Amino acid sequence: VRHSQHAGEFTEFASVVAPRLFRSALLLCGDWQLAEDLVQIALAKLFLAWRRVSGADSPEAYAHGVLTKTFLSHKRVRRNAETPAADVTEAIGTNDDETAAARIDLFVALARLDKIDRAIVVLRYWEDASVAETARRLGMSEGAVRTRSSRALPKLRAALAPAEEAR
Amino acid sequence: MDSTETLIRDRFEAAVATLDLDVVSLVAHGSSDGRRMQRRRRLVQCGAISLAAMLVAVVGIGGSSPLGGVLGNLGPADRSPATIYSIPAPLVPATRGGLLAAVVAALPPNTAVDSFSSSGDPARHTISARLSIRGPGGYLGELVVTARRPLPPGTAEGCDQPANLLFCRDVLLPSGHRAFASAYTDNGGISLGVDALRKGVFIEEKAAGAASAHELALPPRAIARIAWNPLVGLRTTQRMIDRGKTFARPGYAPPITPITPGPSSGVAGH
Repeated sequence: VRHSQHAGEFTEFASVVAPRLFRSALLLCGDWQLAEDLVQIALAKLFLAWRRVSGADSPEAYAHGVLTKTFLSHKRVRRNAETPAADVTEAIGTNDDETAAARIDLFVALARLDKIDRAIVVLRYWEDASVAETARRLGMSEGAVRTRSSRALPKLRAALAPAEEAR
Repeated sequence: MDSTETLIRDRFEAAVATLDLDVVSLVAHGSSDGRRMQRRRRLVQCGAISLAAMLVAVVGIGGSSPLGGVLGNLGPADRSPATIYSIPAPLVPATRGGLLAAVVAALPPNTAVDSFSSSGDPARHTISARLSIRGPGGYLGELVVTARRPLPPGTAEGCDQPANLLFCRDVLLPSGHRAFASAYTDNGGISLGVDALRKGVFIEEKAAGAASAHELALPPRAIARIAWNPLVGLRTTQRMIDRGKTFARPGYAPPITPITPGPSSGVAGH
């Protein structure tokens, strides 16, 4: 009975946080399928540690922490047939869809940052984590978070500039 | 907050805030993966306990056990139950009519549907919607949309290279889904396919008399938009299923300018 109660609680919790985890995952990796995979892996880890998660001060923050760690430790499976090229979105046509075009521009810009910088930017400016919280989640000093963040932001802005000008 | 921080926040918000996904299957897979991991962990624990038991037995033969004081603290601590969260309205398994309704709703404006039919079995995870259409440019075409189980992670298909192939390429749909888009010459016409492998949607458009891609009823971009529409697939909203029931009425003709599903169309999530 207790096992099924835990499973029910987990499902309830996961149903609510999964969309938010997914959006963070998509910003972290810029790939819809990989984002789904990362969320699924994170959910599996959360299920395994559900007692600890449900007893945490903020189960959702805990879940986001697991997702970030999953992203940082994830090694991409080599897919021999999937080689997305930069020009194909134009071929398939997104010019009439402002949001989709902006999304792809953003993913391309984020991909120019290294994994840790991407995680810092997403934690700070999407999840609204403080410097201290970001440092704690990534296991680094607050100074390192500030330094990396201050270097990553101008890089990201520069990468987004052509798209901004075209708008 | 400086202007760069504001820009980044705005761009993040614009890019992903409205995105949705099939939460139900993601959560279900997450918990079943978790159960598998739990079983594996239990097996490892079982092995470790056996090893520890052997160690205790060996040590016991020689004298008192050094583990005696620790074993009493290994049980998991009971925690207070989790906070109660509200459950978002989920997508539901699509019916044949539901898929038809979702496809019609995803057609570009001013596309006329001359006839339609559906086939397949939702229980077998394959359903198809077949529509004869007249595109905004007046060209005729036949559209076959097949919803099936998405390919599992890490698998992919490549492009075949038959003699009648015009092009085949990996494409990234605006949603971020990967797909293959291919076009063939087909009995004097053109056949265009968009295969969103990981979303489980395959769309084929056949234009019997088309001499070029400009003579297709729907251009590739319109096909791609149908492929990544969140309501087109093996799961859709109850609203689409209800709307699909009207397709079974004798003489029913879908509206020429379809209602495009917006954020309020009943997709699960926030």
